[in-house]
Amino acid sequence: MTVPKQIHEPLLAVESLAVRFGGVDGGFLALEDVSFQLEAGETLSLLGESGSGKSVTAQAVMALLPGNAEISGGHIAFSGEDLVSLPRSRTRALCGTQMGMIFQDPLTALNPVFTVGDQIAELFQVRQGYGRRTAWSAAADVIDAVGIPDARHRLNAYPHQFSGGMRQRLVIAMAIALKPRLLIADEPTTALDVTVQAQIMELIGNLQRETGMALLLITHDLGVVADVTDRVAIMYAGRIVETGPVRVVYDHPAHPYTRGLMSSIPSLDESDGPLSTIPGLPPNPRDRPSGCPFHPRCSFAKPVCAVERPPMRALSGGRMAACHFAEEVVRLDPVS
Amino acid sequence: MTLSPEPLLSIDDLRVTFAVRSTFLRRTLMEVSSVAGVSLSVMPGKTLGIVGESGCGKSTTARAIIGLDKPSSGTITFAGERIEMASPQRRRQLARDMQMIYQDPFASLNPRKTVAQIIGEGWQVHPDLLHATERNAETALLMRKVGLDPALSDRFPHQFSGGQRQRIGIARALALRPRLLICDEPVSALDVSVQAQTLNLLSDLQHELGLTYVFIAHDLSVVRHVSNTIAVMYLGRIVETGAVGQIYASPAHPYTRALMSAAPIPRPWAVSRPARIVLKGELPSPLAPPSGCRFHTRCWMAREQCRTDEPKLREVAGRQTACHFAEEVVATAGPVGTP
Repeated sequence: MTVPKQIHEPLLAVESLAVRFGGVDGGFLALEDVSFQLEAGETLSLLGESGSGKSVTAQAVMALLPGNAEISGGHIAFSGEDLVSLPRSRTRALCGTQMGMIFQDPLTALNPVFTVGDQIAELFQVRQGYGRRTAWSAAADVIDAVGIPDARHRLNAYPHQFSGGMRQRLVIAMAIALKPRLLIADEPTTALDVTVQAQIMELIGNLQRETGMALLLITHDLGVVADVTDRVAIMYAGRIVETGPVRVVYDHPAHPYTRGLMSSIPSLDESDGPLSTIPGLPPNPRDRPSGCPFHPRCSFAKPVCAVERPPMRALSGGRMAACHFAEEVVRLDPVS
Repeated sequence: MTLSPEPLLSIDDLRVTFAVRSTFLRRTLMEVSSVAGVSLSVMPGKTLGIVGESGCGKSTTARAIIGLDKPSSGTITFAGERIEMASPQRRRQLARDMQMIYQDPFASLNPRKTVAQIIGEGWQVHPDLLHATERNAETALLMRKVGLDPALSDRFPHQFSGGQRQRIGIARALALRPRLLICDEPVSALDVSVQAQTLNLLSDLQHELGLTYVFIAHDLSVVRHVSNTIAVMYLGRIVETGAVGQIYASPAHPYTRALMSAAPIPRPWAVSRPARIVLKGELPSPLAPPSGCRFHTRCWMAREQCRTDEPKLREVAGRQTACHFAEEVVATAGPVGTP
């Protein structure tokens, strides 16, 4: 362990990932050619609208894909180990110990018929072979760490006896209990109120600073991204269309879809005039447009966009985008 | 007639109470005031935004206006008529003038009816509104108005996307030519790009048809965009109400301030913004609301007086606010330290 590795390995490296959902009609590709890397301690947001593939990406990493879905191409390397070719028993062992996940709905993520103490202590008993007494005391420590007051006493309560924000704290406690190196948070605050959301994001940030774990945040909320992450990857129709440091991407988007998203959210400061919109709807995954999947909705589209799929290209400022005219889009006036 | 126009809708000291019953014999154990003394008004053609977190009573207020929940006291005046105790027959007539758009575009449309049947349902309850021979044409007109292709009128809700379904819900609400639309979280289930389309549609319709909106949402930027006046609710009470620009520029109630500062914005570095206030603790149970000011348990400015005296809404800096120290809140508009 004292000899430094020759080649630098990111904590998580997803390379040309493709996921296919089966079906009687031949199925469809939910993800195509998705690549990104995450360093230890770093934060990356996957941002996209429903159906863009952001949650499928998280499920693929955690080996939680639904039964009718399979990884049909690419690699997922977790500190050098390729999760795609590993036997399922080994990926299951990594989940929970090395990788933790927080789900959107804190009520369905908890079992209603067991006390929270049972559910959290079980982690330590199954994964680390603790005895019941030690496991319960470890459980009390983690729920104390996520800011639930009177932890020892609350272990005997059932999930329904907690508020939505407290339940999300419990789910976070379970995700971080075994000190994972990677935390995947799939829409962790979508079901919560604004002030509770602020509490939960603050908690995740603090835990990350204390433990040095990496965070992969899946969200549709452009504002949450700006609060917590270093880098953002914007997904559209099963692909990443733009990725880079949040400030670079948000201030001067290089992809017309990113630009469209940024300008279609109302601002807190002013209210006049209609909002600018992205015309049309996201494409049906069974029937994606040829060339650039965004071209039917794009105001910059030219004939080439309907024919040729733009590859991800490196641009200035440490960002990449998949648009034939990215340089022109960057040069446009910043969105207000 | 009068020089100053009358509000289309005004609510005075509305209370809506629910009984908490035992599972055995359904005995009433205690009562919860979901809405505890709320007064509001909306001028014709304007939009009143109601913001607040879950459990603050905003949806119950809307349901009381439309007659889905019965107020236990207080008055609701619509176009000069007291309606809270109206007879069921009168209520049905009033329903023509007041329609509601619901949050969930999946649950609020009957999956076994076609779009035409959904939009035309109101005409069966109010057959005198439109002659049967005119209904098909009117359905097509409504669909075009909300941006749907009339050729799709024979389809079923599941054949549409979330945004399109919300448009069907809007067309259904407009079919009875209402004067007041109550929008309960109409865009919170929609994606960002579709949300903007829907908000623009609602604003176009308001101008075209002279509609009055009560717009309930938890997203503060959305409320800012659509509203003329807003009311901020906390635990069944209004804590601050007034012109939207004034309240957003300088909140006078600590809760409003915390709410505004907690709302995530996409480019926080591009605007000057006071430091985020992360409220401590939990929303108290409405079964046992705190004494004095209901917000004092979570307020970083709370003093002894707040525990004992309940602050009344009063005029401060051009809006109504219910805080003993509102002047201080306005004066310290800069970044505040949390306790």
